[in-house]
Order: sequence, then structure tokens, then C-alpha cells
Amino acid sequence: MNHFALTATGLLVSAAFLAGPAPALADSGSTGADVSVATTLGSRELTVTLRRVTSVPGPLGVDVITHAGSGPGTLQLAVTPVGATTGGPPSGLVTSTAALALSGTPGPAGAVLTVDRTGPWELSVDDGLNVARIPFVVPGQASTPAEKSVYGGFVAAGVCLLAGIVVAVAARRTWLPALPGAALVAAVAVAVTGAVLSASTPAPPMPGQELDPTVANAADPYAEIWRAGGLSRPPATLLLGTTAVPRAAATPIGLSLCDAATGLPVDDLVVHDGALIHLMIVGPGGELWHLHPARTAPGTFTFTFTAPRNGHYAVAGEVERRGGGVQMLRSASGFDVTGPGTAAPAAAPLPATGGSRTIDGTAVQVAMLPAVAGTPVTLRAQVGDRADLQPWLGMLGHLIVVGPLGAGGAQTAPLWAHAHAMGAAAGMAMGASDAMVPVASAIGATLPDETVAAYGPTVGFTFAFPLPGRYQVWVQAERNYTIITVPIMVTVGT
Amino acid sequence: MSPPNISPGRTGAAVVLLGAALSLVGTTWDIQWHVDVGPDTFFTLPHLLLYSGSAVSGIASLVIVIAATAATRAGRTVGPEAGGRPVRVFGTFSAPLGFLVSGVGSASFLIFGLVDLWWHSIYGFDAVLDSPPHIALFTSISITMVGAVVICGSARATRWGRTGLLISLPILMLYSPITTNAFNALRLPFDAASAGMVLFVVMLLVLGRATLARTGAATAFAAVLGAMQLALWWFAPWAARTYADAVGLPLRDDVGGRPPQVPASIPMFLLAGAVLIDLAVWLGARNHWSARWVPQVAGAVSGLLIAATFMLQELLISTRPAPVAGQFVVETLIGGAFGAFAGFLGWRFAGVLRGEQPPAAAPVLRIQEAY
Amino acid sequence: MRRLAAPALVLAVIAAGWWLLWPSPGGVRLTIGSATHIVTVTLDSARVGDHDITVSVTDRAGAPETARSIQLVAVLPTMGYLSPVQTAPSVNSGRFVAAGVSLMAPGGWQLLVTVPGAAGPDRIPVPVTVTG
Repeated sequence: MNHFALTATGLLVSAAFLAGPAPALADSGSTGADVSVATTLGSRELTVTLRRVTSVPGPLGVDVITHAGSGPGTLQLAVTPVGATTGGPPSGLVTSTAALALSGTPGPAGAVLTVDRTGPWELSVDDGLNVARIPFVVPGQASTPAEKSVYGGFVAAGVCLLAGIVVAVAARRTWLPALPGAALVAAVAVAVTGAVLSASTPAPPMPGQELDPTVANAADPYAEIWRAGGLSRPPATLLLGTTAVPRAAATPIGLSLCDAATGLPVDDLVVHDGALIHLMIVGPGGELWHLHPARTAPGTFTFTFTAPRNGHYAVAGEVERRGGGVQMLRSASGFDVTGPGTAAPAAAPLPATGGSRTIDGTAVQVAMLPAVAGTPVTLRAQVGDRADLQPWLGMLGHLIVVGPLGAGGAQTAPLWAHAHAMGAAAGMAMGASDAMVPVASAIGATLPDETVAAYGPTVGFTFAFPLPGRYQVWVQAERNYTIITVPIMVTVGT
Repeated sequence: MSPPNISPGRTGAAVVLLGAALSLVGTTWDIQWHVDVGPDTFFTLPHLLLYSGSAVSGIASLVIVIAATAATRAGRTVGPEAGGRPVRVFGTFSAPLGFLVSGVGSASFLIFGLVDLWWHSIYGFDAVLDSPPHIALFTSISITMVGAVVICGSARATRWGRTGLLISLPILMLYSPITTNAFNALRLPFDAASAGMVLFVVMLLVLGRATLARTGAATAFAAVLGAMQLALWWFAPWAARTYADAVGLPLRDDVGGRPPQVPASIPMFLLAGAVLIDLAVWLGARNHWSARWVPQVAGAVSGLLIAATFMLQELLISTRPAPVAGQFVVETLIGGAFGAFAGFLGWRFAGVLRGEQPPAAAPVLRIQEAY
Repeated sequence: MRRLAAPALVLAVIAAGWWLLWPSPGGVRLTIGSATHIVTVTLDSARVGDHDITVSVTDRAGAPETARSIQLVAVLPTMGYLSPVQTAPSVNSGRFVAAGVSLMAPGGWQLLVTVPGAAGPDRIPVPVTVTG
């Protein structure tokens, strides 16, 4: 009998140590996390952050960060549940609203709404002229299967223990207490097995990320763990609503995304790099616009654009569909701008091998070794003279590459690329504080947002230009809530 | 009483004690983990230590209860050395009290785990220490530890019994401030959690002194507790940080400077309080003072000293702001009152543990033996 | 009597386990709202195969939809599959039945229900998880 007790002790203790380093694989998606969605609404570039929902019903904090050039005003916020339910009040109507006043000063402002159920939702952001509808998911607090077996096993063990004691002191037959005793051992075995396997239990596909979110799978993603794998979708196609735009007038331009296999609107975009869609527009003067059109309906987006000069504008969008990777969608048409009058010529791009200029009040320097096709090369830009850059879209810097440039300009350039400033490089030519924005790998940790102006001033990008020729390149970084876009010309040799 | 035919108590006691120690270390570690690191899942090493502790104690208790009842049925007698006076349950067979208590405590812990899961599923894992399910879990662990004290105290005639008591009683004392966290919710004009802690430690010191009936026993218990407190003081932050490092979690920004939570909530000057108890009881025995009031006096002076020095300690390690003079006096006096009550309880519980008839029968004479 | 008690208990435990573990029939009844309609989709089971799908449509106030038919297509986005348009005639007030809709693979399907209306058709996606 005592040997049995000692063996059980040894088993339990060793199991406890075996199960040691078990980070929460499943917790990241099931407790929710802050989600930031950059949205170009009218003339404002907004970063809309939906804070983690910790209880349902409960508050949903919404913070909006405005950037330089945003005028004062009021945003009307409203949330609508959009999921299909098996009971309860039907979805489809606004359940909570709030007004958010924007001062003329760039920076954060916040409002609190209420969410009363788990599942898919839509947040509408209305500036009086345009309405952006941002989809989001309110997850339930699901227990992992491992947790269920551990808690279930230990509770069963407790019940068996109690039953064993009662039977031992009350029963007339000697063998009877052995029954709850054996059940106790079985229950503890279940619990220990669950604990030991917890670290290697796969996470379920995440609703909203890999699966279309439903009320059911948002409440318990483990219910659809069998769907893991094979979640990729067909590519999408980007269609512009108009190809003729007047010059120097704020023009709403619609775009739609459709599924390459069915032609239906694509309404399964995942927030990636801090936006549902990143739209890049290259103007005839070598200008770059990096916008985040507002989702107005399933598969339908809109942005307001004021074209400075006549000519052809090339367009490409970056999106990520659920269960698939990021894709670059180039508009086959682009759009053409015509109108009376002329604009001042655009500033010439900086030579990548060394150049400096003041852009939006910030001194900018660039440096790069001669580039050779197919060989990675590092382009460094020093933006300002202090470590006061702000992470934009979760990154310290963005690099947009278009080229090699031929007669057709950006529209026919074989390559469009979008790289991010990554990693700290020791012994940098232009300053050692090339700090990387920390990556939130830990449970519960959150990334520093745009309000943290503590990075840079040097941002570095490494890119392998695949073909020789001339490339138009832009470096983007944020400082003083202003997105600084540095046009650079790169010549790649063979 | 005839000598017992079986003696499963020693191994059983050792395993129950091991379980209690696992629970104590697990709780201390887990609390420090929440203070230093923060939100987590169920699957942390401290949680598993906690649960293993109760499972270990529970299985050992069940085994001994089954063995003892089987032995009784086979016509053999089971003495108190088998882990507590056999008590008649359901009027038929008898089982050793200590293992019954520790077994029920373990069962209760495991069952309350489900309530804790339910609570966390509503309020998340970054919850507070004094949530109702947590307090139920801590109380269950305390019950298991009480079982260990009963097992060892009943076997005080044996060497392992006395050694076991010297370990199990300080474990229970170390655990008392965790359970008295529940009193934080009471909005009283004094620190109810500290007063509860004074009540528990003084009661257990007096109980230990009277159970062993040896001069200097209270001091010995306090010395062992001090050693455990020192060990945990070092262990808790070390374990929390090392484990966080191992699983790659960052420490909270505000970590550093604060003393480890559980060891810091045990009085550092307990040894002095224990010496006072030993001194009072020794004087009582020498001068043949009545045991009707000596335990209360011993408890009161010890309680006064512990309450006063505990406030000093909190001030010293800055876990709470300096009390104003009036508050200091009030809390010290409350410590004395709680101490007196603790002395009364401890002495009489010891009487029960020593296998005497309830005090109502012949209180003083019986109690006098404990001198 | 006492002899029978133990076997009866064992049988009861087995029966309870059987009852608990037996897979549920898996019928689906999902309600979803748009700004103008409330749609309830009912399937007898959410298994792979051909299904008669009942769609109940009301306006937001609860009044049954008076259209003579509605349209329904089944989409499996992960496979890029789109079914032919199924016209579901009204069977009684506000209830429409689409017969023989083929859900031929397991996965997350979307039933796109299109309700005609004066202000243009209202297209409502109803997610249905189909198991193998």
C-alpha cells in the first residue's frame, strides 16, 4: 500500500517537472488582443485601435490616432454584431454608439463602447461624409482541451478521494474502497496526461485570422480544430471604380476586391501590418501615396484623393486573405488625371548612394553601397537627428520599391515591392541607435504604438533587387505624427 | 491502550507532509509569479506543484484510511501513532482522524479547482489573490496541513511524530497569512488580515508548546519557521525569475525593491514572541499558576509583541505606509486581544490533540498536564 | 434485490455514458440580421451532401417577407466554389425552401441569401460549417 503511495508521489512530482516550460500556445487568440487598423477616412489618416475585450458584456475601448494635417471634428462610432446565432437577439443592428471628438492636434483620442456578445462585429467610423466599417471579432474565454482534461481529471480525483474515504470508513467489504481508489488513480492519470501534453497541443485555427469568424467558433475555437490545414483561398483581383480623375479636386475613388475563382466580393481580409488594405499610388512626378482605403461594404473600399498634376497614376494594393499569405494586387488600369492649370514640378529623388534633404521639416540623409542585381544590399536612411521616430503600422520604417523603370513608368514596371525596417545592425555607418521596434512574442505583451517616439533615427532596409536598371524607391517613417516619405533613385548594376 | 499492531503512520505522515510542503512552495512561487510576471495560463510549474501537493497528500491519506479501516475490520487495533486518534465515523468503523482531515482537505482542493476554472473563465487569468475560489483553495490546503499537524501531533510519543510536528506546524503557520488574505475584503478600522495572522501564529505556537509539553518548544517551532521563511525569501523571487526566463516571459516593469510577498507577510520577530510564550508557560509551571489563565496571558504578551513588531517590519520593508501613533497603539492592543484568545484556543486544541476528553469534563487538571 | 443492485448500477453507468457520448444529430438553425431583414436558415444536418434548406425571412419588426421567392447560392471560399443560383419559392408566409442544395465538401460554407426589396436586393451571408 505504501509503495503505491510513494510511486504515485514520484509520478506526480516528475510529471510536474516534465510539464514545466509550457507557454500558452492557445491563449494568444482566445483572450483577444489589441488590434490597430489604419484607415484613410476622407482627408484624415487615422489609426483606429480596438482594445482587448476582457469581459462580455463589457467595454470596448477604441482609440483613434490622428496624423499631421487632420482637422478638428467629431467621429461617430457605432458597433454592430454581424454573426449568425442559434438564439438570442438577431444581429444586424447597432448596439452601442459613442462620439469621439478630434482636436486639431495630431495624437490619440479615445472612446468606450459596449459589446454584449462574442462573435463577429463591425465598428463603423463616421466623419459625417464617409463611413468606414471595420470588422473585428470578440472572442470568448475558451478553455483548451488540455485545461479541460486537467481540471476535469483533478475534480474527478477530488470526488473519488472523498468517495474513497467515505467508502473506506462505511463499507463492510474490504475490496469496495479499492474502486474509488482505482478511479482516483485513473483521474489523476488523465489530469497528468493533459498537463504533460498541454505544451504540444496544437492551437486551433483562429476565427477571423484563418477561419471566417462565427459566433460559435469565436466562443470556442477548439470546436473547429479539425479544420486546421487547407485554409488557403484563391487570389483576389483589384478593380478601380474609376480611371479618370480630375486634377486638384478631392475625389472619392472606389475600389473593389473580387475573388479570382468566383468573382464574388472578397470580404475575408485580415488586418496585416496594421491595415486591411495598403494602397500604393505612384504619380507621374515620382510621388508616392501610401493610403489605407476605408472598407464601406463587403469587398468595397473607398479613399479620397487629390491629384497634384496631370498624368498617369499607377496603383497597387497589398492585402491578406484569411488562411492565406499577403498578396500584392496591381491594378491593371491605374487612373489618369486631367485638368486645367499646371503644378510645380515634383522634387527630384535623392541619389541612393548619398544625398540629403529636408522633408516636412525633418532633415533626411540616405546612404547605400552600389547595388548589384540579385545581391542583397542595405539602404539606410537617417530621419531627423534624435531617436524620436514613431512606429507606423507596427514598423519603424517602410520601403516601397518600383522598377526597373522603362517607358511605361510605374504602371509597367516589372516589380513592385514593400519591405520593412527590420533588426538592429551593429556599427551602423550613420549612428548606432538603429533600434528595432520590439516584437511582442510574450503572452499579454503589447507592442509600443505610435505614441512612443523613441526609435531611430536611422532606419535600415536590406533588399535584393532582382533585375538591373533604375528603380524608384521610397522610405517612409513617422515623426511628430507626420509620415515622412523620402523619394530615392536607385541604380542597380549587373 | 494496547500497542498498535500496524504502524503505517510514519510513511503516510511523510507523504502527507511532502504534499503539504509542495503546496506551500507552489503557492509561494505562484503568488510571486503573479506579482513579478503576471498573466498566465493554468499550465505553469507553480500551478502543477500546487495541484500535485494536494494530489500527493490526498492519495496518501486515502491509502492510510483504507489500510487502517481494513486493519480494524481484521480485528487489529490502530493506535494514535497511525495518524491520529481513530474516530468512529458513521458509528461503525474507525479511521485515523489526521488522515481523514488531510484527505478531505485534498479532496476539497481538487473539487474547488473547477470553481476556480469557472471564475477564471469569466474574469480572466490575471485575477486577484483573494477571489472566493482562491480563498476556498487556500483554505482546503490549510485543512490538509491541519491534517498533517494532527497526524504528527498524535504520534508525539515517537521521534518521527515530534520531528513531523516540528515541520508541519511551521508549514501551517507560514500558510496562515495566505488564507487570512480573505479578511482584506472586510472594511474594518484595523488590518484584519494581520490580526488574523497574529491569531493563527500565536494559537499554533501555544498549541505546539502544549502538545509537545516541553520547555522551549514554542521557540523551536519559531526557529524552524524562521528558517523556512528565510529559504522562501530567497526561493520565491529566484524561482519566479528563473522560470520566467526559462519560458521566455518578461518581468513586470515595476519589479524590484519589493520583498517577496508570502515570506514578507510572516512576522520576522516571531522568535521573540515564541520566547515570551515559553517563558510565560515556564513561569506558570514553576509557580503552579492555574492553567486556566496562563495560556491567555502567554498569548496576550506574545500577540502584543508580534503585532507591534509586525507593523515595524512592514514599515521597514515598506509594504505599507507608516501607521500614525494612535493606529499603532490600537493595532498592538488588538494583537494582544487576539493573542489572548489564541492562547485560550491553542491550549485547548492541544488538549484535544493529546487525546483528552473535552475540556468541559475536567478542564484544568487535564490541561495542567501540558505543562 | 441486493444481488441485482450492482449490475443495475453498472448498466445505468454504461447507459449514461452511451447517451452522453452519442454524437448529436447535428441539425443547424442559424439566425442572422441585416439592417432590414432577419433570416433564419434551417438544415436537417450539417453533413456533406444534398440538403433542403429552409429559409425564414421577416423584416426587422417581425413581419414575414411577402416575396414569392428568394435566391440562394452556396459558396465554399477555401475551394473557390460557387453553386448555381437556387431559387427558393415561398411555401407559406415568410418561409422559403431551396431544394437539393449540394454542400459537397466539409469546410466553412457561406449561404448567400438574396432577398428582393424595393431598395434593391439585400444579400445576407449565413455561415454554415459542414462536417464530413
